Amino acid sequence: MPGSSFDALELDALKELMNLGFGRAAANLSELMDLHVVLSVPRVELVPIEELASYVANEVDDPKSFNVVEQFFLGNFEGTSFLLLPEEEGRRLVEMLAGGDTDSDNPLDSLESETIIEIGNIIIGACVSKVAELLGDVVTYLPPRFATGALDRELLERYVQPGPGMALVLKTLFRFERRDVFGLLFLVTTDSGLAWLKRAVSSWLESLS
Amino acid sequence: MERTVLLVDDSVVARMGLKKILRESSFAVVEAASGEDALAKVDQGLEPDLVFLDLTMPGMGGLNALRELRRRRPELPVVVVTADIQKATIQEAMDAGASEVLPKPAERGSVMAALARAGLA
Repeated sequence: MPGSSFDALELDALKELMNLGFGRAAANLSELMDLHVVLSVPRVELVPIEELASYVANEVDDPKSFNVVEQFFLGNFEGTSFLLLPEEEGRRLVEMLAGGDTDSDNPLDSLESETIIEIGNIIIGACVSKVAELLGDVVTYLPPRFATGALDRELLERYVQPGPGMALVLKTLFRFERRDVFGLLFLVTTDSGLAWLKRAVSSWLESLS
Repeated sequence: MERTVLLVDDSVVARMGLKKILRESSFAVVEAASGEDALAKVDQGLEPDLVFLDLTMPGMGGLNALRELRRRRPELPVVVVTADIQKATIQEAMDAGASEVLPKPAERGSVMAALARAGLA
């Protein structure tokens, strides 16, 4: 299986690529919202696809209610990205971007959910495009999708179909300074993209040595 | 006399890129994988001519390491190399005592220019 052959240096390279991609995403977002985004050290892991939904659910402290923005990206670097925002934090982001208060007793209205999709689109697009660019690829995107609800297998399996193989999971946490808002970004590339990714990372490493 | 540069980054890959550029320009390179590691090396007597320092690192992180380096060696040029190119981050690094801030991945031209501004190239 191609994914299982990533060595420590290649995984470090993927972590650094994610760091560069998220740096770009944070810069774009901070310009839009006039807020400082605090970056964390990304994590890179290989996870069996059939365990992916449980893995993601285990990554959050309270899986009760989340907003999810999911976007598929196509290219040699291909996969699914999803941004997870606890529901209340999603509301705070909407208030920060659009102004005013949201009604916490009711579900987000269409304008509010569109705002969250736009935030997700900025983060995912900047991050994925930067990683692809550094590896010499160009990606295209399918329209983002939005969902809200308990972060359980049912919700997650709408986006990641269980099946054989490994998923490469790149995870980062972001926080908006002084706003107490956090979110999690996952990029999941499955078997079809892993062999290409390994070759591209090897070439990148060769150029550095 | 050979000049020494201290590279501080938790990413081996990030250090590889900078190390290649520096060695090709005849600099001696010492690596540190964290702020704590860098400070320990300085406390043990390492006297680099310049430091390239990442910001997003586990442990004490780059900003705290920068403040500590500045406190220990006020005259030492410290160039921050970071993927975090937000204006507020750059300002924070400059306020903490960075000589300048370079975006990652650092390219040969900008690295050599930073060395030249520090009087090392």
